[in-house]
Amino acid sequence: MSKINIKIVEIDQATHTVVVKYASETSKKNIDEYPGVAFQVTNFNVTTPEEFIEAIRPQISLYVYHRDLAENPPAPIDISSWNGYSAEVENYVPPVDPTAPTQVTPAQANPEVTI
Amino acid sequence: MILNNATNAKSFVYCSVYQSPNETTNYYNSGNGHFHESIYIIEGSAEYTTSPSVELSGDETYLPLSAGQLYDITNTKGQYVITKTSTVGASMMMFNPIPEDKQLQVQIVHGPNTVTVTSGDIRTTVVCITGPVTIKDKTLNSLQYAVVFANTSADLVQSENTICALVTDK
Repeated sequence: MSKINIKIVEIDQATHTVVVKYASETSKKNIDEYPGVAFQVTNFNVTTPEEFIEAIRPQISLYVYHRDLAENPPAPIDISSWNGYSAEVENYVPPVDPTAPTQVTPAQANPEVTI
Repeated sequence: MILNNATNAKSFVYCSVYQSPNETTNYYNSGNGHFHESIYIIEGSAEYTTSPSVELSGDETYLPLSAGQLYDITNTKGQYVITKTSTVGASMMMFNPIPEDKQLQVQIVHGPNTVTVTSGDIRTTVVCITGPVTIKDKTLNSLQYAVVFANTSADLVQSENTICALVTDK
């Protein structure tokens, strides 16, 4: 698994906002050469910089993935022989997402009972 | 922390949450429908403290939150509320007025119990925390609510282990 570097470069105590910069091992430039992204710390349930970094890690990982992809486009592939290729494969069934919202109960759908 | 439910009962929001064991949450207690004016501990226990800043000094004194108790936490308005659990988690119900400066009067009633809810000039909202209960011969399941309008009354019938909150504006 590759590493990403996340660095807090600016804070504003009044608005509880921090600006972070990030880069991966494959990023083209030094971390300080990239623009920062602002986060409001109060949107996260954190009290330490370690917890904050852990909280934003998924989001930053996605950002850096797409930026690296734009900086390092994949090499062109020769698809000239693909025309006419066919295959019979198993139908794809999406996996169950454990984080998907649960079904709304009748009580939640109709919270008010008129009496 | 898992937010199980948040319902807008027009003059206030009630929301039920579960905080798992050994979890610490930090909540800025402010905003219409977001300000926790009172909190009822349904099950488990926790402790809380407040801080004017998101950063803690380390000298804060934590106050206990025990199951079956309703706590008026109006004094935490506009502050960071830090809630900690230890070996057990806590199921809680918060009551958040709309607007935030409205004062709610919350009364918890435990079953088995039969009571006539009578509203004066101000309506009473019956929130079923743990149900089902019966009000005016209609079933109120957990997390549902019913309004007893001003100058009317309704019989609330609760069986064993049920819990309701009667909420009025002060």
